[in-house]
Amino acid sequence: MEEAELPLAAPLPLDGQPLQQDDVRRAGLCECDGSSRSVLRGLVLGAAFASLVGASFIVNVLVVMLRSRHPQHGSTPHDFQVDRSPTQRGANSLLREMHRSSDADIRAWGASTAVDSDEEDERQERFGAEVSEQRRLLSSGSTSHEHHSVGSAAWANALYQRRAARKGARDRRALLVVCCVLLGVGLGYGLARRRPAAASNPSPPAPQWRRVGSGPGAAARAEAQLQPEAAARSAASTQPALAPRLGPPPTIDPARWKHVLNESLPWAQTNVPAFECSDDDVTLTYWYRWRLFHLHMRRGDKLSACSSPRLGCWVRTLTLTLTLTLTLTLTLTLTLTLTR
Amino acid sequence: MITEFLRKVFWSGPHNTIVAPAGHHIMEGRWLRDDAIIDDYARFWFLGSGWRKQHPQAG
Repeated sequence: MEEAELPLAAPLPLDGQPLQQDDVRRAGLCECDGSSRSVLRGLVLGAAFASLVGASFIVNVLVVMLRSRHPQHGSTPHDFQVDRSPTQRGANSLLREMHRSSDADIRAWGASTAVDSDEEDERQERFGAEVSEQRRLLSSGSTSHEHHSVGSAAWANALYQRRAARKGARDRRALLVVCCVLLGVGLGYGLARRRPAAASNPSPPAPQWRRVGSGPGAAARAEAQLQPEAAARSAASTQPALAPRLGPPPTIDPARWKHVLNESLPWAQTNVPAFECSDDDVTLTYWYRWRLFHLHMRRGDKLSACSSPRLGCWVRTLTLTLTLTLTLTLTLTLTLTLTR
Repeated sequence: MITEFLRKVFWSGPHNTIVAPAGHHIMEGRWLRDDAIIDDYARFWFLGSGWRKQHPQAG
């Protein structure tokens, strides 16, 4: 087992010659060359631009919202009702006056109210519920005007429409913000790509992958690192090794797993592809599986003509036709003799 | 051919074979250096006495 492990323990570099990187600069996130650095710079600039645009837009929206919070003239539903009948007082007159407000009036009021918020709508809904409750208690018989009153369907419809319009406006605002941010990212990225800041920030030359050593004796030196004795031999013969060698392939003998392979060991040695890894459990499982596979192998029957529908079974067909014709002739002769 | 159970089970076909793990057996046996084993197995299922047990839904 030791002789199998030794070649694996040796380093296996690409092409037999170890690669080395000189002038590796560590820049922030990664070791990157000039091009990826410029891309990174473009991304950062774009993000900064986008955040600037987004911040200005958010400030604008905030100003608009604050202005709407403090309206110049309050037009509460009470004002709306009282303006229509400033001289009359009392629940009955108020209700009668309310009933006179038409659908269009309510729509116009809903459109013209400066206070445009969910809280205001809830307050008005509560007010409408109170009014309808009062009307129910008073039980005034004027049912013909019910359609246009404060607690009516038209009034609720106006409230609903206001709410829907507000929601749409909010959605449009959010969409606009997203579009602005995306536009800013794209614009900033494009600007940064168009104007690479190579003059202001001269970046050192990109690191080059270079083979260790260069010149006539490089290959021999690399081989000397890998295989000292082979290199000594080649040096003694004064011929530089042209192709680097990795040494002989590892020999894997399943005899190591004799305790699981048991009688299947010779079969496994001849038939099973050899496998070995650093995890002995995996290797053991691999060979155990092949032991089981070998145990499950059985000899089947020989292929006969009757074993397959494709091959056909002439024997069976012949016997069948012979018996059929025999019985037919027998019955025929019997019936003929009986009828005579 | 390759069996799924070492002992005879009542739900198996001829020679104690079962069609359901046949694909797994073939995938494993392809690694063998001897092709004849899996060739015989396929022949058993398609031409041999296993053809009657090729259920449309693996049984």
